[in-house]
Amino acid sequence: VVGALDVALDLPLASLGSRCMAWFIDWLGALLIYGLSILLLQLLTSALDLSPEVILVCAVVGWFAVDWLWILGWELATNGQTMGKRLLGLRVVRLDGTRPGALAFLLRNLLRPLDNLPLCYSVGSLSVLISQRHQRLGDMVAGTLVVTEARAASSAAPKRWPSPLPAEDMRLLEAWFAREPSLLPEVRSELAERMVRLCERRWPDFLPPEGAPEERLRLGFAVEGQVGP
Amino acid sequence: LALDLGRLRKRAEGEAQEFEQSLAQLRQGGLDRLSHASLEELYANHRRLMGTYARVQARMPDSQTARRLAALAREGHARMARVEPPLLRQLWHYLWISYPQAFRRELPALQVAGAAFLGFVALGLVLGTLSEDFLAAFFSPEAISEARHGRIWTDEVEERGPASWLSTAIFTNNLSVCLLAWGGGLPAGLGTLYILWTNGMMVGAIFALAWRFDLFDRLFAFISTHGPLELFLIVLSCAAGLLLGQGSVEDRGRPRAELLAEAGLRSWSLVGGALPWIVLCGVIEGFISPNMDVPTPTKAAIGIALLGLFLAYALRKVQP
Repeated sequence: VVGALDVALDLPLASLGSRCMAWFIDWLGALLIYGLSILLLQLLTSALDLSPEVILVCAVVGWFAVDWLWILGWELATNGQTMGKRLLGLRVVRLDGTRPGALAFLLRNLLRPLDNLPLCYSVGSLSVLISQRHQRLGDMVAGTLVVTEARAASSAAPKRWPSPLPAEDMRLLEAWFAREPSLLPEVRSELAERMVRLCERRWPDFLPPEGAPEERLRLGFAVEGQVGP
Repeated sequence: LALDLGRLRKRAEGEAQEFEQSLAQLRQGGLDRLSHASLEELYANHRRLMGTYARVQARMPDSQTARRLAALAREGHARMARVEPPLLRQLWHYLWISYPQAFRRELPALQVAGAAFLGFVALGLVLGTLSEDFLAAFFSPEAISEARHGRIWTDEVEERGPASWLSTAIFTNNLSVCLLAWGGGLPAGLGTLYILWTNGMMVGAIFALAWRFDLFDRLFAFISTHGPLELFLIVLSCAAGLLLGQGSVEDRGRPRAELLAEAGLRSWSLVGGALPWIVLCGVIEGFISPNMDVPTPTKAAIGIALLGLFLAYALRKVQP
């Protein structure tokens, strides 16, 4: 999409797998809440001596709500995320990358049964696989996309830099902070010591004088998060 | 060059931090809550960030800095684009202003769907009157045998369950049918045509069964309250489905995605306002229709009044 100053912004489209997983999580949540609500209602009905009709009516209305309104309600309330989408870092946006309105959420969700045909979202999955923008039919009609929402601020990004800093060193440090959480402890310690030696050679007073090499780097560059497993 | 890149990265980090602070305010309260000065600062920061992002992406594509700036730029772009009015105000505006306008605008589609439905009803009626084998396609042998002995299933509706449950089950089912009639239009209107065909033939077959075994007065006593409006609303949903189907096949020299989104909006504006009335029909079908203590003329008067009320609402003239 084209953003401010005519700068192109890429929207990272969600994969079919992550969308299916998000849907599965949503359904599990819905069924759990539906089951618990009916159970609670049964207890209330027997405790308050209410007519069993209450349970029947609530069961029908509840099932209708789960079937048609559960995901819609989540998306309306959280601006395009459901429980599953939030866990997997997905979000529904308009084709231009902006937040959809209530009508767009309504359209994409009310067309869900069509994507579900003949069963297990076959039509929707096929549509996601073959369409250029990974849209199911509901998305096409509503003019929406499901995108992966990257974390805006990487916790591994250094907050301050010694100045002036050559680009090569900067890249090296960035790579260190990005890869450091996934390194084996002994490799991490060894590499951290080498990074500290490099920093001390270039900027003698920049890093804190004491502590473990990983800790000194973290404090020196004001990186958030815990170093180490 | 190395020093230049280093400066660019440093500048990008600074701008990212500044914009992130502005975004934090935006995440908390939205655009509405920001003061004029904060808004100006937010937009200035966003423009600066976009400019820097373009330079970083051009000179250090896919670096960590570029990815961070892209994520912030996307979030800013999404959050700052537009503010929609509150949901309830939108709903009120749609039901009171937009719906009557849409109903009048889409009358031709409604006429097409209505004509098709009446055609299928007539076909079902003629075929059902001429051949009992045709009725067997719609009714079980037991139902036909019962009808032959002067009993019709509408006599036993009350025995199926309490009225509250019955009406809830009916309106949820009818809502699903109407939404499917609308959504089924997406594949070139085929799903909608199928629903028009099956419902029309079924209604025709029911009339044929009632006529053949002289049960028309009892059938009429059951359907006269909810029938007129309910059938009208199903036809209306089918008209919306046909509009959606038109968007999926027509060629106006524009991208399919645009045409589909336009047809989605246009067709929804016709069917959405009918949904509360479908709930009302379900309640009436559960509580009043099966009650044989209410005289048939009263039921018919209620049915006509309901349809008249809906038409008066939908055909109301609204200033553009």
